[in-house]
Amino acid sequence: MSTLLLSQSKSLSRPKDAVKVYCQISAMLSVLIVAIILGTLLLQSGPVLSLKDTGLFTTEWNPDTGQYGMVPMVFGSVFVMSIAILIAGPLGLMTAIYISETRSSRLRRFIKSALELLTGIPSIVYGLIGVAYLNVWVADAFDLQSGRIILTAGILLGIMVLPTFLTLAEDAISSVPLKFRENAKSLGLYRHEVFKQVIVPQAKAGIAGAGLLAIGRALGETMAVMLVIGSLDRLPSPLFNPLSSGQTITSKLGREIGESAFGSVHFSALVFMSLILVSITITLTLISQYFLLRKNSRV
Amino acid sequence: MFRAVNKRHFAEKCFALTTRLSLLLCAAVLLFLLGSILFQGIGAMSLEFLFTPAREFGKSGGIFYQLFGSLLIVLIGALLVLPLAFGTALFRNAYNSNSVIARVMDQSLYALNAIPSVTYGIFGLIFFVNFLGAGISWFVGSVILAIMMLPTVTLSTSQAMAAIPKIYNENAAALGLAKKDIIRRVTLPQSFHGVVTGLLISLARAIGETAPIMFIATAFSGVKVPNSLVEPVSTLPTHILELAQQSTDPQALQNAWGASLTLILLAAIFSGLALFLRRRLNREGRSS
Amino acid sequence: MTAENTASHLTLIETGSQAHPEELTSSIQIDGFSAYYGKNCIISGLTLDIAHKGVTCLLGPSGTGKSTLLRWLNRINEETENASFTGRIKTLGLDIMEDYPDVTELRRQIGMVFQQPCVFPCSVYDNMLMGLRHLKLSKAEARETIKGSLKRAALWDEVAHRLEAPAISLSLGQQQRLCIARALVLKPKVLLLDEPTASIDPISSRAIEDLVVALGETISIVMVTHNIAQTKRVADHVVFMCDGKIVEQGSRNHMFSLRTCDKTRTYITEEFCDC
Repeated sequence: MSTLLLSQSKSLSRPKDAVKVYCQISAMLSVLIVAIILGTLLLQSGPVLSLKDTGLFTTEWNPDTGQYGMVPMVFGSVFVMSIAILIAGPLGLMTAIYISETRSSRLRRFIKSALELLTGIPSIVYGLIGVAYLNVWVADAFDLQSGRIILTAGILLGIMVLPTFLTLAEDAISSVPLKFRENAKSLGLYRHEVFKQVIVPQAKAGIAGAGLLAIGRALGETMAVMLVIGSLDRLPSPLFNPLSSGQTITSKLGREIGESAFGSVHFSALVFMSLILVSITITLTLISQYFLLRKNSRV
Repeated sequence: MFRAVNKRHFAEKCFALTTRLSLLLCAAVLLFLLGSILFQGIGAMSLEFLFTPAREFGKSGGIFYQLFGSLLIVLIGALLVLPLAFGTALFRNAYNSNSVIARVMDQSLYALNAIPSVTYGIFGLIFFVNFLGAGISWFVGSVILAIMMLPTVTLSTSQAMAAIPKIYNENAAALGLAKKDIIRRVTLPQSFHGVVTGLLISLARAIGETAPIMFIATAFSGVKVPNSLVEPVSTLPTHILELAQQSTDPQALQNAWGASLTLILLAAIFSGLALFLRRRLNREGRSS
Repeated sequence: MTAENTASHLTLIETGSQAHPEELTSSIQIDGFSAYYGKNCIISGLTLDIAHKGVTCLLGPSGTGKSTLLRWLNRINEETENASFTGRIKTLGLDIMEDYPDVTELRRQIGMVFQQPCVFPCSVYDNMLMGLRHLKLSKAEARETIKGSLKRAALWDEVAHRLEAPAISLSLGQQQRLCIARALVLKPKVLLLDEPTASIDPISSRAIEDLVVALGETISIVMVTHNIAQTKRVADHVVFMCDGKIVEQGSRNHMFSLRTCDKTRTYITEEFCDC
């Protein structure tokens, strides 16, 4: 920090470079913001980490007795995300293949703009649709009293990350030059063989990047999940029962941050969960960027 | 040999069928989403709905102050992010295009993009509302949204700057222009469309954000136009959240759909403007 | 065309026999063929027979539909947006549309090599294996087939010791011959070449030309080119096209004599002056 200030004051002494100083300050601020956010979260995680017997890694969450077990929330996040990816992954990939293979550029443009439209729907509106429709349908289909369960959240989340994954996967597949397809087809390969033998080897980095980004999005999604998951701080029983209510990290945060007192251990436990979530999503995104950029530089 | 061919043929048919079914399913989902919002929302929508304040905790009346609050928060947020994003992009392209610092900056922006929206809310609550003692304030909401918009606006601007042909810079430099004059005469006009489209796209996203502002900037009822920077406002997304939680009440749900349609139309206006300006400014940028 | 005929023909191809039906004197018969992109007519009412052996060169200025015609012969142009055609094309007696509900069958009998060498980003051997993988050959069989094709393409001596090397490490000329060899593994009766030397240096081009001449002794080759000197070196039969129509066709000797029509002569001699 002090060296940065020093270099700043140095350039300040040359009045000509006002533009440069402005740029340097902006750039520094942009980088600093990330550091400040992570630092703030770390600092506020302090209280719960310094206490003993908070049982952070147990399955029991009860602020009244000082138990802050995060396992149900972490499990819920991973479970819901997995359902979402199981839906969005195959559906998105197969649709991406269709779009990239179609001869009609008009159809492609139409689908692409429709997808952009979908990404523009705010999370809270997805939540409303979940509450008004999906919720009821799931309850009817499985004959449950309430449709606010992990499965509903997973399906809704799958629909939400579908456009992101689909667009990026389609980009990756389409970036394989046409000549490879033509050559493979001239060898008498079927389309599924062209895909498996020619497209996948070249597009797999891009598809993987798209998948990781979708996973990151799915883990970080709050509003829609919060409205349909049922907010139950227990592990489902049996463990992999998607018809049980649950809780994700994000839905927990959305529900309880407002209720917990600032500075309390309860608050600190929530912040710590948020810190864990951020670490995961940032890592996933940085890895996916690496994949996506590698794809670009190769073509 | 023949059987092998038939088996392959069968696999091909399955493959074609699956891709087609997937497309149909996606189209069905799309139609359902847009259809339900449009169908349900239009029932609630009217000029009166847009321009009267909410009554009975949103069950009746309109969404005037919510509309106002949403626009206030995102537009001020856009004003805040503009100079920061432009400076950062300029630094990235004009001064430090290939250094370690540039790479660190890129990674930071990607990281900002990766932070879940609810975490921004928590950060705002800790840092601005409590550390800096601002309290629940619409301006803090704007600041947080500005931070969330930063990566999109910066990357869009940066791309526009990177797309300026080198020859312009070289010619300008050959005329003896100083760096800051090159920036003013070449970089700024040629990358302006990047700033604007980036801003509009991130506006479309920011206006729908709920999680970042629900702890720090909004109050549900009884809020009108704020008199100072440190008062809460109501916004469309948080209004929808409250109404959605009363989903058993058809009247509340009806108004939630109306607010949703309004929100999506606002987002669509921003995106549509971005698309329009991108085309037009691109053309101007090239011809000049 | 009867079903029986189709079946026997298919078996013939699958076993890769070098025999061909005696009654056929032409490998490809084109009748009243017109090709379109959208509403644009690129080729109109073209009729042409291509001999079952030897090299047929489609010669003519750029943009006259030579490549379009070639790309329809194995229906690779189906993949292009807005492309369509009317008329009839028969290969080895079978209509390419009606008798091949599955286009893949057609493409396995008609090899094609494009203007730009296009090797897949894997090893030389895997490139050769690309069209073979689905015949479920044993390892030894596949190796023999690949070796045979590489030998036919006069590439074996150069790559025998580096079959596992990435194909991209070969020179451009070698890559193009690899593309030809890759098409040969399926033992096609017809090989389509779309300006195969256009992006390759003169010396490597000569190697490919020699290869084309040698292959022409056993199979039918259709080659698009606008290089007149090259045509003179490799063609048995020359088809001169202009504006989507055949201006004149004939044996090489005829086409390069002075007995041709004015249009052909102008094109051919003018180019000579340039050379």
